[in-house]
Amino acid sequence: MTDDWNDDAIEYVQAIADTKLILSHRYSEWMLSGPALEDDIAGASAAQDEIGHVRQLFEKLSDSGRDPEWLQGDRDPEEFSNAACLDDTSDTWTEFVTVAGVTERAAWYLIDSIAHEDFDGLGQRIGQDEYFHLEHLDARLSHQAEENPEAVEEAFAAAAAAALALIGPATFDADTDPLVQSGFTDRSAADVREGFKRHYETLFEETDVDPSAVDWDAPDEASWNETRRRIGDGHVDPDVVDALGGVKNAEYARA
Amino acid sequence: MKYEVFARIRAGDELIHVGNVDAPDDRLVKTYARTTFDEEDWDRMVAVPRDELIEVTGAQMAESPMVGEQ
Amino acid sequence: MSKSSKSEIDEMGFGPFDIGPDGTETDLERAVWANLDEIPDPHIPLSLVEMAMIYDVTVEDSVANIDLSFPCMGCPAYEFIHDDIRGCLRTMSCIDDVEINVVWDPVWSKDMLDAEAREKLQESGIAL
Repeated sequence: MTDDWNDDAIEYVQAIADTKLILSHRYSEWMLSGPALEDDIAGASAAQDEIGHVRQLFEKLSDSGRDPEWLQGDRDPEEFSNAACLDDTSDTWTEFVTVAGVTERAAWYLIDSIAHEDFDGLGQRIGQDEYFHLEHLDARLSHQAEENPEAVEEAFAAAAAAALALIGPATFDADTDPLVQSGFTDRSAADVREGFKRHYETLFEETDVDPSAVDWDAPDEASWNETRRRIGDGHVDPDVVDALGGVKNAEYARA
Repeated sequence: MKYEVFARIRAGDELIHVGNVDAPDDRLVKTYARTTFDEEDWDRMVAVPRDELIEVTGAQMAESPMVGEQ
Repeated sequence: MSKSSKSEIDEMGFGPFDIGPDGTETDLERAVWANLDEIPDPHIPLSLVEMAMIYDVTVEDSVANIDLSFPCMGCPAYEFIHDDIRGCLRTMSCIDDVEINVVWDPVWSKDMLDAEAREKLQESGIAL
């Protein structure tokens, strides 16, 4: 079924899957630290959903030739293609909600853009989960924007830059985006970026958060890493990779 | 802010009171109510700020004329 | 208790959804359906077939191909259910191997449950 994915398509889905994988880890770090028990329950539920999405995306990647063990975590930190804003754990709840909000939204927009038949039903089912995740995260983000606009503005500028790099450079329009050209997606990075920007302009409209603090033209295509869909060579900590692979659990099981 | 939560399992049923939830605002109450009362796959759930409820019951006794007016 | 023991396997149906047996099955495929109908859902007192999680069954060269879906993508029993299906079908003398394809089209919906399944759930105090 997936033998007709080209390299661009494989790297695109890899970046979505890795972003969701690290995001689920970040959810698990925060699921006992939200301001209310209900936030923690929503976070725990989202972490489980995200792992479920990753499992299916890894299945597709495996079908298209990626080694299942490599996918599951038998790889170096710099081989993960997650959105850069997930590299480090968030210092505050406001930062976490901002990072989770923009990466969930960007990853969902990328999945929703896939026109390949392998995503029939799969994309729809992920979208059903994302409705609840994004409703909670947007509600939280707009609440934090009322309470602490300076902190949200700062966190949003940093996280949105990483999300825009995940989506792709602004120069990828309908005529130049290689994924649109190959028919794997039905809308260009430029179109997705526009929808992303419009969403947050509306969300922050009634607040003191100024979305123009974001560099909406970045990243520059020349410095963009097309494999990892980001700028720079940052990566998650090796401890995160160990945790994802269950290295310590495996040692315990052998003892 | 306290919200009273009403829900029904089947379309066409009456909404019944299922409990209350404390939420910071009208947007977050949606997630909070859903996660708090997740034992059913509800057909419809609504939340009403407690302050918006109209008191129907109360002192069931005709008013007395005030002392001094007699 | 299972769907196949109460009614003819031909009558298995899932309403307007293009899933389940369609009457063109071989005897062996019918036997596979009947065996799958004995595997309980780990969370709910219904079989995987009654839960409408089995979308299709074909057997070619003694290999059973099962199209399986899940109500929830993050199902914690995902691997258990795979193991249950493999374990159940490998006991069949005409089946040498089992291939399970997890599918999402159409997306699983509670509308796929028939009246009998709904009644069982209600009797168990589970609302769907």
